[in-house]
Amino acid sequence: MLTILNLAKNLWKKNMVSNIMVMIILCLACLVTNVTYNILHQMYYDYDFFKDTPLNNSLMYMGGARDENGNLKSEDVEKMNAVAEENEDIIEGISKMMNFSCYSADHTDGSFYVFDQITASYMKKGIKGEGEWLFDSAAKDGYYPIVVFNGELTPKYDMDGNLIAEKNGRPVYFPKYDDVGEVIKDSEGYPVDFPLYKLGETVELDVSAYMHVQQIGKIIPPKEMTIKCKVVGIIDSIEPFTFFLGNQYGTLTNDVRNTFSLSDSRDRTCIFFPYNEELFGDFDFCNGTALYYFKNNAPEERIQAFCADAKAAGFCTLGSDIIQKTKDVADNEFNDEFFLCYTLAGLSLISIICVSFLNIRKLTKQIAIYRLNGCGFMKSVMIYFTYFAVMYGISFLMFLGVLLIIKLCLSGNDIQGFLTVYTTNFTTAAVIFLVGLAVSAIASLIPFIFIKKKTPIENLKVG
Amino acid sequence: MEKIIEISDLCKSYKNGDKSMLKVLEGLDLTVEKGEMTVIIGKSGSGKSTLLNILGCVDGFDSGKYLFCGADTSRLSDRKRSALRGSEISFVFQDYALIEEETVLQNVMTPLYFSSKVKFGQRRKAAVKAIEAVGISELAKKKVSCLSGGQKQRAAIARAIVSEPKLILADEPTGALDSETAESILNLLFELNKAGTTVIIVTHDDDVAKKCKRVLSISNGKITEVTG
Repeated sequence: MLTILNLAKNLWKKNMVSNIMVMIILCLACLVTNVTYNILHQMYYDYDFFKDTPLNNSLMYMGGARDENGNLKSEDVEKMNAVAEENEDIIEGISKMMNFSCYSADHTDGSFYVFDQITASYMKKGIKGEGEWLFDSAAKDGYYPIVVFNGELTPKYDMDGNLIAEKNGRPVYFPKYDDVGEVIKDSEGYPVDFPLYKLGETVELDVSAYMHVQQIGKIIPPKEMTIKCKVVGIIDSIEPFTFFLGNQYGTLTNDVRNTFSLSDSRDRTCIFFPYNEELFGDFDFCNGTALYYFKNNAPEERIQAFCADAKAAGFCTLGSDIIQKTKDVADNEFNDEFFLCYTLAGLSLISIICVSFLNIRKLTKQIAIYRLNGCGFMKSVMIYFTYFAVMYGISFLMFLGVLLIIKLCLSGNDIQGFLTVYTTNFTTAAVIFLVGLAVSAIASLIPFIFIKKKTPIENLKVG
Repeated sequence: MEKIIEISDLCKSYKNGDKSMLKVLEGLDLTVEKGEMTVIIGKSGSGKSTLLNILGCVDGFDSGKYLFCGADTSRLSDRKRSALRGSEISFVFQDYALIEEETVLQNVMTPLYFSSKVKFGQRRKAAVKAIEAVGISELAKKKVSCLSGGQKQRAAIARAIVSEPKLILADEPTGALDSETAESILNLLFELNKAGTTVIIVTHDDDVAKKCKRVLSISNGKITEVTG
C-alpha cells in the first residue's frame, strides 16, 4: 500500500497544475450536488412528508355557501358531516385541527393547537423530544395531557448565565440598566419571559377559543375555558410541523405545498392538545372546509360515491390527487430550475475524464517502465486509481471545508432556508463521496483500455 | 553449467492488418547458460524484439517451451511474470526508459518498489550501491533530464542491477550513443557479466557483435550460432 501511495504521489507531482484545476472543479461539483440535493429535498419535503400518511386516503371538502362577508359558512360542512356519519363504515375520522391562544400565570401566553388522533398520528413524523406524544396517554385525575414546545423567545439563561429551567420555577428578573449601561442597584428589574415548561409539570391553562365564523355588527365572544393540564412531552423543535391547508384564500387547495409551517411561530410557546369531544364538541370552529379520512379497506366505489355527494354540495379533492399534484409540481420545478446543476455536473465529469485522456501519453510510458521493472498490470491500475482517488479525496475535504466556512459565517444570522441549503448531513455527504469515487474509478480505468492493447515495450515507444 | 534459459521449438505470430497471420518466430531453439554474455544479431524485422519480449516475460508465445531457471514461464500468471521482471530479469533499452522528471536515485529505486528481494529499509542503500557500481555517484540526486546520453544509460544500467537479477536483457544499449560512450557502456556490461550476471544483448550493430564471444544470428524466425 505504501508503495502504491508513493508511486501515486510521483504521478501527482507530474501534473500539478492540471491536478489543482481538476480539484477545484470537483470541489465545485460536490458543492453543486449538495446544494441540488438539499433544494430537491426541500422541494419534495411536503410530498415526502404527506405521501405515506392518512392524508393520502382522504377527501378535502369545501362548501359553496358564503355569508354576507364572503366568508365560507359552516352549514354545508355540517350537512357533509352528516353524510359522513351515514357512511361511518368507510370514514375513519374527520379532522379536528384547531388553533387558539392560551395563557398560563406561570408561563404567560402561547399558541394552543388541537389535533384529532388521526392527524396527530402523522404529525408525529420528524418530531424529536422527550416524553410522550398526543394520545399516548389519557386524561388522569382531571388533568389533560399536553405536549409543549418552549418558544425560543423564552430565554433559557439569565444574565448570570444560569439555566432558567433549573431554577425553582419562579419568574426571574433581568436587572434594570441606566443610560450608560450600568446596572441600577436595588431596582426590581424586568421579569424575564417566563420559565420553561417542564416534563411532568401540572399547569392551568386559560384557553380563549375564538369561533371562526364571524358576522358584521355582532361580536361573538370567544369560548373561555380553564383546563388543567399535565405536561407529558417536551419537543425540541417545531421545524417538522407543517400543516396542510385545505383552503387557501377561499379556494380549495390542490397541492400540499400550500402548507403552513410552524417554524414561523418558533418564538412563541406552543401547546399541543388532544382533541376532546367533551371540551370542543359543541364548538363551531369550522372554516368552511372539512377533511375526511377514509378507512384503509374502504371500497373504491363507496369512496367515489361519497365524493359525488361532496361535489354535489360544494367542492372537493381527493387527498391522493392533492399529493400527486404536489409531486408533479415539484417535478416540473426541478426540471426547469436544475439545468445549471446538470450542466455543471456534466462538465465536472467531462473534465475529469479529459484529464484522464490527456494523461494517457505521459502515463503510458511511465506505466510501461513500472511494468518492465516488476509492476503487475493490476497494481499499475491501482497506482493510477489511487492517484485519482487521492485527488478526489482532497477535493471532497475542500468541499467540506467550504461548507464549514459558510456555516460559520452564517451562524447566528437567520437567513431562512439559506443555511439549510448549504449544509450537509452524513447520508448526503456519503453519497456524494461514493459517487465521486466511482467516477474517479472509471476515469482512472480509461487509459488502461489503451495500455492493455500493447506490450510494455511497445508502450515505451508511445511516450 | 546451469542453464538460465532453455527455449525449444518456440513459435510466435502476429495478426496483420488484413487479418492474416505473420509468423515472426518459427521453431526457435535457444539455450543460455548462467554467466554467459550473448549477442543476438539480426536485421530489422528479423524478430529480435519479439524474442526479447518473450525472454523478458513481457509477451507470451503461441507454442513451444521457455524455461527460465527451470521454471516453465507459460504457466506463470501476469503477477508472477511481473515479479520475475525487476527481480530476476531486467532490461536496458536504447532510449534508456527512464522517468525524466525523477532523479537518478528515484529511477534506480523503481524495481525495488515491486520486489521483495530488498527490504523496505534497505532500498535506498541498495540503490546507492548500484549507482556507485556504474560510476555516477555524484549524479544520484540529479534529475535524469539533466544528464547526457552516456550518463542516462549508466543510470539505466544501475536500475537494471539494483535488485541483483539473474539476467540482463539489453536492447541496442549503445544505439543512441557516440562510439566512445558506447564503448564505455559495453565495457560496463562486460564487467557486470564478469561478476556473474548473465547478459543478452540484442543488436543489429556488427561492431558490438565483434566484441562478444558468443554471437547468435536471428533470421526467418530461427536462431543460428555464428560464433561461440
